[in-house]
Amino acid sequence: MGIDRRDFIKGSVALASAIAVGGGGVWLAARRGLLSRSSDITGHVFRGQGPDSPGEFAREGMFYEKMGGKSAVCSHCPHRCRLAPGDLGICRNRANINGVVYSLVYGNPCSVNLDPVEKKPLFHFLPATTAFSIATAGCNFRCLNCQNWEISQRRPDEVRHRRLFPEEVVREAQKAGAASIAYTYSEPVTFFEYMFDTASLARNHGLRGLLISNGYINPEPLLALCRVMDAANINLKAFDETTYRSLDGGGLAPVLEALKILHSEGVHLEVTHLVIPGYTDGVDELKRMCAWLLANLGPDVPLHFLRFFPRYRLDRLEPTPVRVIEEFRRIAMEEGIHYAYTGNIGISTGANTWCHNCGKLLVERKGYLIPVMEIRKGRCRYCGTRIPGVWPS
Amino acid sequence: MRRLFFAAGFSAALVQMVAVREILARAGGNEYVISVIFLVWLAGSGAGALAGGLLARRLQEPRLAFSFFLCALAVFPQFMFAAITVFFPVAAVAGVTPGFYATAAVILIAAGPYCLMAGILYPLALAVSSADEGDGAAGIYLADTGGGVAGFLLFVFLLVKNAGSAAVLVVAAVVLAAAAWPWRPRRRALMAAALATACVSVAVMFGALATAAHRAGVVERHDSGYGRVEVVEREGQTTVLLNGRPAYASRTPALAEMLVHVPASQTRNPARFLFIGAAAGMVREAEKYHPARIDYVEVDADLARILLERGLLARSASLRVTNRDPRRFVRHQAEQGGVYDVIVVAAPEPETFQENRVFTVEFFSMIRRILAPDGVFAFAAEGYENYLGPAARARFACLRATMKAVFPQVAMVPGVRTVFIGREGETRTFAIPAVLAARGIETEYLAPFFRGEVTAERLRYLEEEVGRDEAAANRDLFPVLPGLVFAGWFARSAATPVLFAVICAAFFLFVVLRLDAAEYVLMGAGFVAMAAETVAIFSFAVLHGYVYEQVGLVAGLALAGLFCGIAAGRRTAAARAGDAAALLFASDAAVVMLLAAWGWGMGRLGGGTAVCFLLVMTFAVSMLCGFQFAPAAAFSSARGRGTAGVFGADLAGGGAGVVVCGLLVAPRFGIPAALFAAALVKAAGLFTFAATRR
Repeated sequence: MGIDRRDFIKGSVALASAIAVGGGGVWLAARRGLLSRSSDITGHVFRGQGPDSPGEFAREGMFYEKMGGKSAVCSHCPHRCRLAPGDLGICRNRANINGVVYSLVYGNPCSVNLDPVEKKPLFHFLPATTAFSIATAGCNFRCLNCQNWEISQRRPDEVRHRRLFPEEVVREAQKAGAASIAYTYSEPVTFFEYMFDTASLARNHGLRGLLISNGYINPEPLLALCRVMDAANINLKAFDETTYRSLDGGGLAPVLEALKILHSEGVHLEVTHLVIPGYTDGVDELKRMCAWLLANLGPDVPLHFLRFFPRYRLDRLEPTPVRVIEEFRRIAMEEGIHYAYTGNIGISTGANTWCHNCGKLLVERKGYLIPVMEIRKGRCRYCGTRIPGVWPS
Repeated sequence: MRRLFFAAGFSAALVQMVAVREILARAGGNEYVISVIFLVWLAGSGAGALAGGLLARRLQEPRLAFSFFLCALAVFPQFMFAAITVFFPVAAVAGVTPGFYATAAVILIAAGPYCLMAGILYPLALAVSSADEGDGAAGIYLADTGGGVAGFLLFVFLLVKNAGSAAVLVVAAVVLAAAAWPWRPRRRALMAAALATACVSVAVMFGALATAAHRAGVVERHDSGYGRVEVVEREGQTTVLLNGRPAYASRTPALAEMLVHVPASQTRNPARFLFIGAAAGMVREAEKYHPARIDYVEVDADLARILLERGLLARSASLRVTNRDPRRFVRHQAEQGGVYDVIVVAAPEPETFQENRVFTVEFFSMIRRILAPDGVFAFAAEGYENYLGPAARARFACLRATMKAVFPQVAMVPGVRTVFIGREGETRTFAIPAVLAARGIETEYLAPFFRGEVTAERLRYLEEEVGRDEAAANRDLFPVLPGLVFAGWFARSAATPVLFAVICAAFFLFVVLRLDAAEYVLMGAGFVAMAAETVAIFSFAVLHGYVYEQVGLVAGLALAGLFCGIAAGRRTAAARAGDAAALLFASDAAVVMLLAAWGWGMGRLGGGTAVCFLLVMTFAVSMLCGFQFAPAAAFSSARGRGTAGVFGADLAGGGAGVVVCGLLVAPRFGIPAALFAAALVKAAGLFTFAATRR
């Protein structure tokens, strides 16, 4: 059967109209910003990708609820992954094996380092000491700019590990002369059992526990953790739910709740905020964030503003201008935060600690070196004001 | 009709170059992306030719369809440009480089319809002209290729630096429209509609252009022969972006400090520096040693000018800027007896074979010849923060093996990047801050942060992890490093090239199973022609440097060979009408022998002889492939097959040649192996043809 001229013209007009309408619609939507940055990058449960049986590094999870039919809900973090047998949680390292939720990374960290405590960053906690730092594979977030993506976005079986159970961690930390053990790099909330047991044991040996986390954790496990943790740096990635979802794959409200719990439980707390151009560099958002911090945690919680550099998938954004970081610090202090710091901008006076009462220089930081230290017994050497934090005696 | 196809080929070449430039500026420039563009182009045109064959057979009045697709071909590039501009931001969230599959999808959506329409035109043109099929097809192909050569050369030598994408597309549209004027629709209403569409398309393109230029703070933009350079000024910070990625920014001294002071601290008297490429602030750091000379070699003159004008590299009395291919510069220095105390390669890790040539054993050997006895060579690699993932581990191992092949002592120093240093004598990593302090050199990053970045644990970890597996060194003709960089790129977007390979294999299997013997020969010819062009460009880049015009010359030469071959094939096929099969068989055998000779000669010849040999081989292989078109079309026509299959087979074969040789074989098994693969395909064609004939 042939096509005559009429059919051809009709067909061509229909095709052209469809392309014009479809393409025009998409273009219009894109120009209005309806299509960009609207995606929610929250991860998903990995169906059937968990191991069949618990291995050497598996430990039963401390917080989960058994459901019918051997299903279970992992309740460590607000994702509350519902796992059928064989499923792996969003974090990639918690699996349901025959109705029991296991952590798969107990005693097998993939990254072990001795870091200055300032690198965490913790500026008001035993300065100039070192933290024995450990991390395992897995994270409950999907941050586009993750600098540790090769461990955080991988399953435990995809990375090379060390065999290091809590006793060995404590022994090695002591041997290295560390003052503390930091649970860091990836997301310690996801290796909760390993962190909890290690921190409990370390405390008995005089080693402090540092939680370096995104704060995306449920209240019950966090309250348990507060009993064994001495300090925390929580990365408050944004002050906007939409940005949290599109940049990190998480949510803001649970993180704020975690901050309140850590503060009220007496854990030394510092907050980090990475300033990413176009995502988290809005001044209005900053002011709202400062207002919340002041209202809920008070003015004494140190706040770190870090400069963004292109990393991982977010590689087409320019670094944050230094001036923006300095401006953020200035605004935060103007809003009432006593200790705001700049980070990732090399040597800067914004990284020093100045007494919030007399304005004198108390701690000068040149990178990880501390040439000036004027805090005595936790107080300003000049005016005697108590400086929040944990200081060497 | 031939004039029209000359214009169509010319226009298509310009459109293709603009598409490559615009896509690379948004998706990053690596061989995978380039190959996907060529694959979509060739396979899309092939599929279009097959569809056009079906359409031509079913249409009662093909002239109307022909004029419709001609008009569409003239106006669609503007929509393609708009689609590239609009869909890339949709394909990935702000600031993210789209992954491989998102990129491929955008390329398919944006360029696919244009390629299909271009392919549809061939059989429709034959139906309209009612010429003798075999010769008509070859004539059209000849004119099309000739136009392609002209368009390609015009773009490479004139338009690339002097015209924006919109202007190039207007040239392409005007040339095609002028040639298509005699074929315009006769009805006024249709003509008015065509003109209205053309106006809308131009408006769409300029609208898209406005969107593209929207990036906040862009104060300068250049399309140099090496990619797109943009300058962004924001809050007192200057950032230079290369193909959309930040490459240099003010107040980012960390990398510059590492690249300068890590090697300089190893040598007693760092007085002569050579920088191949640069990081922002490197000259300022080198100036702290009061050197006698700093040579900065940057092949892209526009980029070097911008870095100096914008203060990202300090102007200094001891600084000498050379815009020349680094290998030629180093060779020249070696011949002149030039000696340096510190040599730094500050180029990004290679995403293309062209960039790979400053990370090979051969280049490092050249470097060693101009290094002072106490001198140090250094470069930096990305990928180690607190853990070395499999992709980074493989890259680091390859880089260290490449260094070890040349330098007795090799060390890695972690930091914002991991700096690899190589030298004759001992390396002293932990002494760096002390040496800097003793020389009175202050740094903002290196010394103050050293304690947290360079620890015994981290060094031990790096050594253990990198040394755990045996790694192959990266060599000119066996470029393993780009493949490892691609692996990292796939890992970042949690993708795998396997799906792509399966889709390609299924598509080509489908095409192959439907081919007649002559069409198979032509598919092989298309495969070999594109494989030869790809190999020629890779080899030329290795031998001669990444000089855009000269790479363009190689591609132009390949097309010219194809053009001459088609012309010769037409004449021969016309003179020996009954011997099409014999001609195909003989030319097939000649192609196999030529490829074998090429593979043998590669690596055995050096200097100017190697370049001449390469050019001759490129031309000869392309010519033989082009030669096969007319006899194959005649043979196919004699067996009652339409010419659409001939076009389709040739183009689909070209797509397969790009993917198999450019992406699968060359990065994994070396450039000579790509020639071997092409010869194998041709030999298989020879056997198939012989079997069919029997």
